[in-house]
Amino acid sequence: MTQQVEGRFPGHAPTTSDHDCSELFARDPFGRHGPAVRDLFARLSRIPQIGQFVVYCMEPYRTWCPALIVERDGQRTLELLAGAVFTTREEVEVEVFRRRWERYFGSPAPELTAGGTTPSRIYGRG
Amino acid sequence: MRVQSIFAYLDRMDARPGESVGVHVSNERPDDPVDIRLLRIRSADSNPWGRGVLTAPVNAIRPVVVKAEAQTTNIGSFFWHRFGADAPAALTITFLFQPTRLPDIEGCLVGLGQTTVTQDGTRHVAVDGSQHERGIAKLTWYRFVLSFDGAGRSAVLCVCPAGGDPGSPVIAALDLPPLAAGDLLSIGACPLVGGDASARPRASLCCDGKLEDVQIFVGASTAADCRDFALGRTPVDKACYARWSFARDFSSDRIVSTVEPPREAWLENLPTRSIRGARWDGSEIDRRRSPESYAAVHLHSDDLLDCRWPEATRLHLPADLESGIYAVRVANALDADLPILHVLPSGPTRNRIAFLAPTATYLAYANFRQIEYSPNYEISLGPILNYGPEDIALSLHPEWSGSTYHRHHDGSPILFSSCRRPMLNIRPESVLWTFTGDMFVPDWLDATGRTFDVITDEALDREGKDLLRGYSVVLTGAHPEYCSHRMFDALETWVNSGGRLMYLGGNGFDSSVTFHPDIPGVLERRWVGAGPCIVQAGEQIHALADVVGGELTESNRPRSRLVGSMLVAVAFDRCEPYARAEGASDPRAGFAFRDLQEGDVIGAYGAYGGGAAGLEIDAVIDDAVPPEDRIVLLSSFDHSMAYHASVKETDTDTAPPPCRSDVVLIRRPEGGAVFSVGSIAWPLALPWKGYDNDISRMTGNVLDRFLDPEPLW
Repeated sequence: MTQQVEGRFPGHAPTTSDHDCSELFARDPFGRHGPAVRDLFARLSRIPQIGQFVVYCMEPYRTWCPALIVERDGQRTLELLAGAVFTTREEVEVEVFRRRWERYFGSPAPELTAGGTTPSRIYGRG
Repeated sequence: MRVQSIFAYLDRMDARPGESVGVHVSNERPDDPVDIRLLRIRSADSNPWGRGVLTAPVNAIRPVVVKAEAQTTNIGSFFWHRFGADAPAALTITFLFQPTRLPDIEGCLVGLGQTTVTQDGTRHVAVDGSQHERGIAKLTWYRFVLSFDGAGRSAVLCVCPAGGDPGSPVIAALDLPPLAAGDLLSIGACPLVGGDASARPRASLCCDGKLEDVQIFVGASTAADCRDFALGRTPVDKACYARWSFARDFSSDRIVSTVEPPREAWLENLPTRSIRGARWDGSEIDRRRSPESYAAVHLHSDDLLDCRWPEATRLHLPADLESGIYAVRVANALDADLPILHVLPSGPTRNRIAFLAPTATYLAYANFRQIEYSPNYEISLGPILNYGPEDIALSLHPEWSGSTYHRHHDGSPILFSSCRRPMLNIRPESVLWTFTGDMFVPDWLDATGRTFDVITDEALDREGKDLLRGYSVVLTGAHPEYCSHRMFDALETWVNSGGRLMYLGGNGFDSSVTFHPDIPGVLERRWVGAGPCIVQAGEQIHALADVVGGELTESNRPRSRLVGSMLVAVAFDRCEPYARAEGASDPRAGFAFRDLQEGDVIGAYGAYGGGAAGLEIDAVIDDAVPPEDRIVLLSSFDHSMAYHASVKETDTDTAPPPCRSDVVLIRRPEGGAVFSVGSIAWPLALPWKGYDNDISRMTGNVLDRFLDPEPLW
């Protein structure tokens, strides 16, 4: 039996600042962001773990996909959304951010393009 | 998604040439033959600059092909005694029990021959189906009195809060054979006994709770007698058959009766000892001074010492096998598992360099179940949490227990970790803050043409400073966080008498652990004061040794005295480079900078997040090493907010500790020395541009200088 939590969190609507922050975040997902971006990130993190989107590393340094934390037979596990495979950690970070946005606000996420990638900044398994 | 179909574990984490290692396999494709072979692991990470995951066959040991089936694992700890030929026909059992969790389904409190006393999720206790009128509640101590007549016809059960009113016992009619030689008494489980009657039983229907003061008396008891027992009065006509106390031999699974003859009982699956018992009143917080206050054993329905899968094969290591890091590759037609084996040097030391594999830290983190952590964990680390295949496999196998960063079913912290289970994050290409990250150091030694021996934390704990004799330089891995008192003392004695330590990681030598004195690959760790799984007040003393748990600082072994720096920050968003510190211009340290090419900023690269300083970082914040004995060569800068937010302040600070990693060179007595980088990410930068970079060059410069016996200054 798989339990999933869907849908919007009542009373949460994105503000103009949230939209601006999402663009700042996407430009450099591991960048130095101000309090407003960190606040948005924290709000999207602090939602129930069951139904939360996370990053799944398919091959270290090479491919990632979004994953969903679900509960099966009383155990938390991951359901991979393997249709969306990314070749940089920044891209998958932004994709998961978008999915969290949609779950939290219940509205489509802005179009976001991941930036911030440099050849010397790679990500193994953390 | 398809999940790995074969898993394995070894019965130890290290071995010497000439010794043998048991390989235990669970194969979920039993029609596939299982190929087992030893591989040398040279590199465990597939970063784009390095050598990739690099293994080599060991031709001295022939691969074997075996049949292996899927195995089950019986979890849960319990107490048991096997009756001999003098088993009393009629008997009365009494003990104290404090439930710490009511079972989801029926749990077995007592098994005696073919009779059981069970506990269900609605608080009721029953003897063979006859329900006691009184329920039991969590976290209350109860006195249990259970009497069986010699004919197997009736049982009397009395359960009451310890020291309280016993009420009316339940009397159950039975139809069972009398107790016989070989029958078991168990408390906390209804054990499974296989065909071999002498074998240790396996766990089944386990309960969660604390057990204390187990006694057996000869002869059945009336309801009135049972009331007397419950009130702490022993009826005068009752002879004591056995009395088992858990207030001594805290590391042992063998409990010997305190009344003659010395009958044995056993604790299965390593339940927790050295915990507050029924008589603990808060007036004493050290079990060494008041063992009777710590006379309880905490049974958990998910304790696990040993999966007890059949041995698929036994690898006999050739006498001339080279010291190194190996994996036993266990493969069916689709998948392979790679449990790790550290082969220690045999006989006289052969190399001047040793790599100290942090096996204590591997055990402490074995089967770290990140998926069970709360959102706070992600917010504190910085980026979105990322997972890998072992997280999915672990979620499908809760029976393989968690790490010492997790809790038991009843909410109490997991204090023990054993290698006798699949440890899925201690594998190549796993997270970089444990085995995979540590392997960057031997990989670099190998890639730069240096020969070395491999030694382990457990061997250092076992053999002390004798293990280090003959080595000129010992290098650590990326994250040697856990350390026993014996390990710390051996390293400190060694560097203070001419030894040279290269601490190539971050957050090292932080917290105290104890290895099991009798069982290889088993460790105890207790969080004290702060952390995700802290023990209760008064439970800071380990069971496996008379040592204080928690940070080593608490037992007067501050890591800064050994390596000059202390942990200051933890985050996982990005890593940063270093800048030359004031000491970089000190001519005494000139050798470290020989041929460096990157200018003022060094190490702006690495296998995680683009820098050699990060993940967990240490800085010089005290004078445990006097300023005249240390030179700070490099300091990292510009760490993110996630690092700054993690900096801990203490009451004694006049200012918050700095948020940076310091690379320090330390002079010790008699020519000893320490090179301390204070960053998990340092070794992760070694392979950049094919090992041709300044982090690699500085590490090599220091190693070469450390091999020269001339004192540093």
